[in-house]
Amino acid sequence: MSTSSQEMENIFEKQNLWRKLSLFDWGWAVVMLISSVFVWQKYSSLMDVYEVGILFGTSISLVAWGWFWKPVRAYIISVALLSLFSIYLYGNDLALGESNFFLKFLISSKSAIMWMSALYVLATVTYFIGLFIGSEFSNKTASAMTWSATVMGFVGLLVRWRESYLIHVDVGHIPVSNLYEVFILFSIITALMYLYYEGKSKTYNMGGFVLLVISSAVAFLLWYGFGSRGASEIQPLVPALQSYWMKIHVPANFVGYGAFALAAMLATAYLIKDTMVNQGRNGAIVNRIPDLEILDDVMYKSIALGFAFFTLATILGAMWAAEAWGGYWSWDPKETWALIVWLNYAAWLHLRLTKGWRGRPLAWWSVIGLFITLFAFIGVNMFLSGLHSYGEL
Amino acid sequence: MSNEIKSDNNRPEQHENPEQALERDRSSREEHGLLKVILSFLGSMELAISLFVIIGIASIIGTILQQNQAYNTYIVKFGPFWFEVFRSLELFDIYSSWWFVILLGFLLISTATCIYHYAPLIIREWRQFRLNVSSKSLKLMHSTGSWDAQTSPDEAAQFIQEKLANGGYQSRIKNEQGTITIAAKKGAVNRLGYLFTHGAIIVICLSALYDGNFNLKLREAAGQLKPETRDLFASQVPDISRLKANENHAFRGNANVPEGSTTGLVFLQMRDGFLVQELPFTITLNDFRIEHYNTGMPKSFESDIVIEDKETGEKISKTIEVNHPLVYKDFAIYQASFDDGGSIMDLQAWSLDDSKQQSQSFKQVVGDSKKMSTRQGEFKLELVEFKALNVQPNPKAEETGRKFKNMGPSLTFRLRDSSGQAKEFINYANPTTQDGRFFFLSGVRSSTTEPFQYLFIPADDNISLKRFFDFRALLTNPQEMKRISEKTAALSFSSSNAPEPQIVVQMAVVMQRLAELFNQGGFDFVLNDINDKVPEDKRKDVTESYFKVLQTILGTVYLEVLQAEGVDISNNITPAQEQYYDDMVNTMGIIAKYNAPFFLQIKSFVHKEASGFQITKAPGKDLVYLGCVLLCIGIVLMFYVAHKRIWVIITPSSISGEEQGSQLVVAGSGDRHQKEFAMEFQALSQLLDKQFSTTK
Ligand code: HEM
Repeated sequence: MSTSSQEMENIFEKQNLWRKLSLFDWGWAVVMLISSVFVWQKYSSLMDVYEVGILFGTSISLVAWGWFWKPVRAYIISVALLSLFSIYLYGNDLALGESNFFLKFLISSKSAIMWMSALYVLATVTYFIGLFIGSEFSNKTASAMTWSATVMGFVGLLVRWRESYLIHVDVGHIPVSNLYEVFILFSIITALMYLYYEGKSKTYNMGGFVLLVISSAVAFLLWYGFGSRGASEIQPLVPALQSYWMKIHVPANFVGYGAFALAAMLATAYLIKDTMVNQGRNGAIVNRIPDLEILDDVMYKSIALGFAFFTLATILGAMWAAEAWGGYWSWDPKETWALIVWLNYAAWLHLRLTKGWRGRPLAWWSVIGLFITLFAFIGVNMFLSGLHSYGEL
Repeated sequence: MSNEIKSDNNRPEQHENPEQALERDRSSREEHGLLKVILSFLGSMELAISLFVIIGIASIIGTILQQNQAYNTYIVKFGPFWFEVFRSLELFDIYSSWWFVILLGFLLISTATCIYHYAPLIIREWRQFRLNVSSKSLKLMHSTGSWDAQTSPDEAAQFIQEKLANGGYQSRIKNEQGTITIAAKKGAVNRLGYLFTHGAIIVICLSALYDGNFNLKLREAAGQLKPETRDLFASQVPDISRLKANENHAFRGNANVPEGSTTGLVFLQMRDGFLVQELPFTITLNDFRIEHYNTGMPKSFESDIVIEDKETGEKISKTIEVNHPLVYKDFAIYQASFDDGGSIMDLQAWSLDDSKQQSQSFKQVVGDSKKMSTRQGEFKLELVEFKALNVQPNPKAEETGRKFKNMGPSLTFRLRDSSGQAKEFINYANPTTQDGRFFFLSGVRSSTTEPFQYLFIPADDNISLKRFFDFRALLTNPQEMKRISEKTAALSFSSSNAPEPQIVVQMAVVMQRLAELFNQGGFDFVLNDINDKVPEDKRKDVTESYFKVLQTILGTVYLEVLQAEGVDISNNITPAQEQYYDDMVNTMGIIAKYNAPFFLQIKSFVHKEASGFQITKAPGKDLVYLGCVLLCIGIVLMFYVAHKRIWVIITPSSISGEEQGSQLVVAGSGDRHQKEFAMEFQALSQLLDKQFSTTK
């Protein structure tokens, strides 16, 4: 702790944000702004005022994100370069995806997703090896794999977006419209949140636990997307989904789901460590798992973040529903389950904040919370019918 | 653990002065006896969490048990006993049931009570600096430290205030007989987050209750309203089931408007009945358009509508589509669905069992039914659905490179016999091609859960059905068949060994009977007949010769049909005509399974569509949104604004007799953010270390 507070500039000294920024930080801002001005120059004739706003809004947010979390800059740049390269290779011919070497084996949407899947699974194993033998090398490899997988996942989504337009302009749409696509989104958002936490806490030992949930998502993705269901095929959108709201409602929801999943996996680690310690099994492995207090705290922060985004997502969903279905709330099963998830975490937060609960009971609760969340996420599509009829299983 | 907002004991509360203690007492409100018990129950966290859980479980039931289905569906599913139980618990419409609304009401009251309890405290926490602290209490806190300064208390205070301001703290200072107290705080709006979130819940719940059908339920309970359960025209619905346009309640209703029609009413579903809601305007549908992807999936559907205000006569034209409703005053008109608006079908019924193929041509509107008399008795023909487009996966995707093909318009209809039994058919207007030949397609099934079984009727040279039904009619006509059989029998013996006339007659009889059997049930009937009548050892021979005979007679009938059409058959018939014969005979073979009195051909149609609108009024909507904004702001304040306080007490001290020095006690707390605060406090300590010297 003391080291980090020395690194940190003293907030009580007279200073401001600008002074804290390095040359790199400014370079980052310049790169982002130049890219968006370039895009604007080139495509402004095709954009309406909202889109221009979104373009510059995005670029400013990316600048801020890069300042707030430095490693994400390399991430954003890698994603951008790879996606642009892929789009460049495609040109206007979707068929190249089957013949061009780079596209076929690396950065067509399907290949990128395959790489993502493989890397996440490998990273999970490597993290656990790191945890069991305490190898720093193993941990760093796992972390690098997770970063690469997350790059590939995002590239896969962006390229898929482009591919949908190559099929036909009418078919083109943002890839958050079916279960296959949102599972990719879920994986990369959860991974990014974990990576942020990993960088901040400088501990790699939670990686295996968190990546376990991502690997399960990957397993589902492969079965659902490439199995007999073939959901990895790009389908056009039904009229109800052709809306701007989808672009913000769905990602906001998945930040929520991702944060809840992260919390549940931290809770699992908490329960394992707590149980082992109680049984007097104080081995090296148990010791490598971070302190219970820290786990508890990060779990709370994760649920708080999830709750905030989930609330926002639900509200956005309600506003969309008011535009598409004629009412902001219809007690449609998906909506209702969102409410259930929300009430569940509201109860969790109240227990922690007002009744002072900590530790095991809340850890169990957040593990159970993940199952409730999962039901809202896929169970509803699998077992119940309603207006949210996209991505049925 | 206590049910208090403040669970950390890091605060120097113990040492407040009497004045503040008094205010504190006042703020916890004067409550006595029963009222106090009730209020503390209503405001308790236990109740709140129980409500979360109970509402959650009730909602789950509502998602598992499909809501607002027709009552019949439930009776079939659960049986009359459970149906009655569930109905009385209002499980079929949980979310507007009395008990569910009461649960929500409790949540509302509980939250309100909670706010009532805590608001004064929260506001004080937000506003006040808490200058009344003692160094003793400061030293008890988690983050605390003492320093000795060479400077006067005033200078030290100035220094510290400056630094605190740099760190984003607001501070207040108090000087009491030379002892200076500084109280600083940062992020106190965090406390307002509580009021925002919980206030938001109240705003949202209240306005959502208003937008629900709660108030209609109240009126129903008071006997002023009664849902109509009979199948009536809107105009026949009595007043007790009608809602006037000028009443200001929320509703969500549906209206199906055919192209070219106008409506000023919507229907509100209420359990197993409906209410008629009058609108202050009329809606006219000028045109409805639907576009498809090449997969046949709808890409967009939109309606050109005109609304006319009944009072002012003002007219507004707009095109609405999914995700783009028309908002007029408090009302919103949505494109919800589409339907047939009474397309007019020009049909021809080709008899399958009558020798006289009189042309039964008629027009009928989709949705209507019509009596049809046939030789099998009276049938009711109900036109169920007309579809202008039928895109299906193309079985020949590989060869043609097109994944989908459009089968063209189709008509779904039912034939109901006098006992009420119905079969469903789907007929396609355009013939489909198979191996370069054209066929008219008709699917049949005896219940809607089965898949269709298809009958392919070959199209003749004019792409019509005429030849097929001429053939059928001839086969069905006993006199004609007698004549043809006799002719054929006579011809079938070559002139060289002319048989006895008796044998020719017999032959003709056999021919006619075989043709008759074939007409009834194809080759299967003929085989069955042989199996019934011929001993096993002779069957093979008999079958062989019977089929030869059958082919001969059918061939002759076919030639007669061709001749009647005016086809020149003096030479040989063409391969195409031969192929037609094979297809026709195949089809005749399975027509028994089709088992219908006639085949319905779609000759032409006038397509008329209807647009399904959802029309809503939600006066509480804006308030709900306001509540949502409050909720979001509140959550951000609560989670992401750290509420921190720092206190400094500076007492004068004398250094080496003369010079003025001072002693500092500094302490603080970070409420929910103890870890971050500890770091911040450390940073402050470093500065103080540089400036002053640490005590002990
Ligand atoms: C649907 C209803 C409710 C919702 C959505 C809700 C939501 C929240 C949220 C999001 C927090 C913030 C937690 C945090 O700071 O991390 C909170 C805190 C709190 N809630 Fe509720 N709440 C609800 C009902 C209630 C009720 C009925 C009570 C009263 C028994 C209550 C009492 C409290 C208290 C005392 C706090 C802690 C405030 C603080 O110390 O800052 N809440 N609530």
